[in-house]
Order: sequence, then structure tokens, then C-alpha cells
Amino acid sequence: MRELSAVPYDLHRAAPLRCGALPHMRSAVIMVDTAGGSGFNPAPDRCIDWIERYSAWFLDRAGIGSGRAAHLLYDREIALIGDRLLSCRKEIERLGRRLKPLGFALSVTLDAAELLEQHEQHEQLALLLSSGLVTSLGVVIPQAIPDRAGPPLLTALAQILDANVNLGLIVDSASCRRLGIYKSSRLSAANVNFSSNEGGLVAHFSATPVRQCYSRLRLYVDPAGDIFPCLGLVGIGEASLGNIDDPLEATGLDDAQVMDLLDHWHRHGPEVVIPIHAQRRVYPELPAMCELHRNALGA
Amino acid sequence: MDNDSRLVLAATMPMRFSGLVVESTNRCNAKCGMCYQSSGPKGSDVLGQSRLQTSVIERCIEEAIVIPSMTPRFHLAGGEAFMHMDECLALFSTAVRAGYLDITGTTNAFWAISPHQAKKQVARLRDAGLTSLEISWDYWHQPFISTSAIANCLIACRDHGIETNLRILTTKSHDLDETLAEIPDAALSTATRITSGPVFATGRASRTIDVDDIHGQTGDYHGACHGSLNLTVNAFGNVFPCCAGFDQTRNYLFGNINSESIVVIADRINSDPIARTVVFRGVAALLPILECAGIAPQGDVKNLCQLCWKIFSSEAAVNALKAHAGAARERAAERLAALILEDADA
Repeated sequence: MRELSAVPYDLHRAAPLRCGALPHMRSAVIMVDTAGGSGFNPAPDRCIDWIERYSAWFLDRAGIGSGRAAHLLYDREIALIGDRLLSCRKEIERLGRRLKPLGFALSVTLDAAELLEQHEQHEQLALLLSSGLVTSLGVVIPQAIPDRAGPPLLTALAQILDANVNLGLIVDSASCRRLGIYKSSRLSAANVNFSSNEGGLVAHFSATPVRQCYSRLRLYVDPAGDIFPCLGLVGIGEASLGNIDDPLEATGLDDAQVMDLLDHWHRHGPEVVIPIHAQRRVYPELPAMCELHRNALGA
Repeated sequence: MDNDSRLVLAATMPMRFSGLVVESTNRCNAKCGMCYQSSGPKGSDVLGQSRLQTSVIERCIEEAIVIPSMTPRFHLAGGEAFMHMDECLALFSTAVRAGYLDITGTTNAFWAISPHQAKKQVARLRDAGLTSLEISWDYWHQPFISTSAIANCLIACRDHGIETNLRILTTKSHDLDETLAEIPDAALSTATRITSGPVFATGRASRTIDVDDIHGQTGDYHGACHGSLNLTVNAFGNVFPCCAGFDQTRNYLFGNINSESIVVIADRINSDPIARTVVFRGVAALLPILECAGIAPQGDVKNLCQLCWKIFSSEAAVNALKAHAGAARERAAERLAALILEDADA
């Protein structure tokens, strides 16, 4: 065997992880519009061009090229979400082939209904899994899915686990019981995350919600290519950091004031008023603080 | 990842910790058959009973925030740390003041005995700075903790904006369905996340659960753990790079927060050749050393955390590893000296 090397890595060569909001910018979610399975927007070439520039920008800003902050290379991921993504397997693989050498993991979220469309989609899933480019798969299981979908859905989920791909399910507990998901011995034997698709933490606003955006900041790119600092603010023009076609230097990512604001949100949350009396939620799929922030920005 | 890539990682990357985990006590009001810490009312079956002083934990929290490669997350665990609720509140407040942004804990929720009590306690936790809570629940907790306590806790957290992660362990004979059957949908649906995984044959589980009932395949212990480290302080004050079994051993120690700063200890862990091998190359990379010494771990090993726990629980195995690392260091020093002499001669 090779000898154990006594490598005295100096921890202090690392820059503090708490360098503002920058660590949150190491990963991005691309919200893909597949136009019902016949397109992929933003186009893969645009995505690849932006990811290459954005990756170089991140490494430079973090100081990794100068031998600092190597720990910020952990957990860099590009996540793809959207309807009928399985029909865009070739585009996903093309992205994945470029992401791997850049050091990004690739996560894809699929719709259960699409997984159940036989035979062709089963083949697409098998091909995607065998490419080895996808590190984790999320499966959204809507409440409306019929009982008869249970057995074929479990077969598809087992296929994902057998490929050693991390699995997360976005599903409510009643559907899990109805579809026999909790009874599956294959799922019980694996490490699986079940996230509630009933989403909101509360039906009403809490008097003391968790304010800080620490766990919620991440880059979100919408189908038009506009970049937002979190899911809660997607679609609000005022909150856009720019577009993936813009030079990085012209986006909020390279603007000290914008980054200071994001740092403030990451530590303290947005400056919004908490309603004294309970109000009904409009966006129950978002954390309460995000909905309040959207309201404050007039969305 | 190929072996050369692992060597490059081992030589160049810092260990990245996903947070500071403090196991403030190893006493627990429950004594679950699957507990990797072997915790119970009298502490750990294996390591004995211990509880850290609040003032020592507070100092540790304040010191650790400056560790560059540690995410600003503070996680309080046990045993059952929430048996000392006032201490938990004080520690969460300390963590907020120190600058941690994610403040979390693990509990079996025994304290949520009624909806009123649950709301009252969660409100106090929220005011102290708690941002999310992991709730342990499975077949083995059921004799000690009522289903209604779990339901009360989930609902109270939802009402106070605290994210929850219901953590479930399974074996072949005790699956997810059995565990979740008793929790009403109205409560279960308020969990932000449910995380399910197989029991590992470590701690008490290694003695009380039939190995054939444990999921996994024998020999499936390859891979590395550099992506899932937490800087962990156990109830004795000893510091480890994870909270998945290594923290429940006592033969290979890096330092103790009762007598040293955690910053110094974290640096020591990061520079330790054995720890770096485990973290970046995988614990299986230690097996050839142990095989040469004739003390390879025996029995059915089904995952890398179990293998790690087995190796570092064995005094003989740890002595063999220390001897190997010491010899490697001496050879490296000799080579360096020879190079310096060559250079001087030239």
C-alpha cells in the first residue's frame, strides 16, 4: 500500500467561511421551461456559457486560485427543476458533461407523472442514470396522482436507488401512505429524504418567524435567464441580479452594495413587518418570511 | 473517484465541517436498542456517564466560530440534551451572540407532553434562537416516548416557524410504515422533512439487533466521508471530526475542550495523517495496515461508519495505526534530512 502521508495542512490558509453571502453563491438552480417537452429554456449553450463564467468568477472572488478558501469547493451544485425534464435527457447530459470537470454536482428534479409514462420515459430514466452524470434526483409526487400509480412509481424509485443516485421525494404523507411508499422495503432500506410538498411551515404568519435568509440564499435562474438570490424573490424585477447573458461584472454578483445587502439578509433577514394578527398565506409553498418579503417588494 | 484523486484530495484539501456539534450529556431518558451512543439513564453503556459543564460549552461555542472551514451552524445533541431545557436555552442564546446563523438540536421530544407544553417550550426555544429541530423517532423510541409527544412537537414547531426533520431509523423487520403508522397525517404533514435511513450496527445496536436484520451488504464500506463532517464534542469533551460513531470511541483522541481551545484541536484533526486518510481516502484504506498487523476487524461489516467505529473502538487496532503513522513520519524526516544534506553538498 502507499504510505500515509503526514500532511500538515494549515487550516489557517483557509479564508473564513463566513465571508458574507459569497458561500451561498457557489450553487445555482436553473428553472427550466421545457415547453411541454419540446424545448429547453434557457438554452443549454447559454447555460454552459454562463456556468463557465460564473464558476471562474466564484473561484476568483473566493480566492481559491490564490490558494485560499479551498473548502468553498465543497458542495457546489447545479440543480435543474422544471416540468417534463426527462424528455430533455440529451440536454441534461450535455450540461452534466461540462459541469463535472468544473467541479459541480448535478441534481435534477423530475415529475412523478412523467416517470410513469411508459415505455419511452423508463428508457430515458435508465439512460440518464447510466450516464453517471447525475448525483441526485428529486421526484415530485403530486397529491392528484392515482392509487394505481403506486407500483410503477416504486419500481422507478428503486431504479434510482439501484443506480446509487441520492433520492429525495417531494410528497405529502397522505400520498405516501396511499401509494404504499412507506411500505416499500427498498425505500426503507435506503437513505431517503421526504420533503413536504405542502410546503409552507405555517398556514398563518407566526409572530416570531425565523428571519435570517441564511439557509435560503442560492442563485436561481429563471427560464428567461434572469438571476435571483433566492426562490422567494424569483420573478420580482427589483430583486433580479441580472441575466445570464450579461457580463458577470455587470450583474449584482459583482456589485459590492448588492453583495452587502445579500450579506445583511443572510445574517438578519429582510426588513419587513410581521403582521400582528394572523393572515392567510398566499404562497404556502414558501417560508413565511419569503412571502412577507415579496409583499414588502410589492409583488 | 480513483485512488490518485483521493491522494490529491488528502494532500491539498482542508477538512470542511458542516457545523459544531456538542453532545452536552450522554444521559438519556430513553434506552433505545438501536442507539449508536449506547445512551440511557445512566449514560453510555460503553463509555460511562458524563456531562459537560455549561460554562465549558459556552467557551467552546465562542471559540469555534472563528474556525475558517466550519459552517456557522451550532447543533446541540445528547444523550437527550433537552432534559436540561434551561441549559439548552442558554447555549442557543450563546450561539446566536457568537454569530452562528443556523441553530439546531436533536431531541426525542419527551418534553412535548401536551399541546400546551409543546407550544410553551418551542416558543422559549424560538426566542433563544433555535432555527430548526431534528426529532428522533422510530420503533425503538416507542416504549419510551409517546406518539402524541412527537405530534405535539411537530405541530408546535410548525406554529413557531421552526423547521423540523423527523429522523427515522429502520431495519428489515421495522420499516418506515410501522414507524409512521401511529402518527396522524395532520401532525406528520407539518414535518418540514422526514429523513429515513438504515440502523448501523454500532453502539448498542451492535449488541441488541440481529445482524441479519440490518440493511446493507457485507463489505459495502468503501468511499470517503469528506462531504459529511461535523466538528463534534462528545459528553467527555473529546473532539472528533464526525458524529457518526467515531465520537463514541476513546482510543484515538485529538484533544479535549476542558483543557484546550477547540480551534487548536480542529487544527490538529485537520493535520492528523490517520484522520486525513479516513476522511479523504476512506476508512477502508486503513485495512491493509491492520491486516499486516494481523488484527483486521472481524465480523459482518456493512458500512464505512460501522467499520470506522469498530477500528477506533479497538485499542490494538489504534496502536497498530499509531505505530504505522509514527514509522512513516520517521521515514519522511530521514528523507528530508538526506535531501537537505544533498543540497548542502551541492
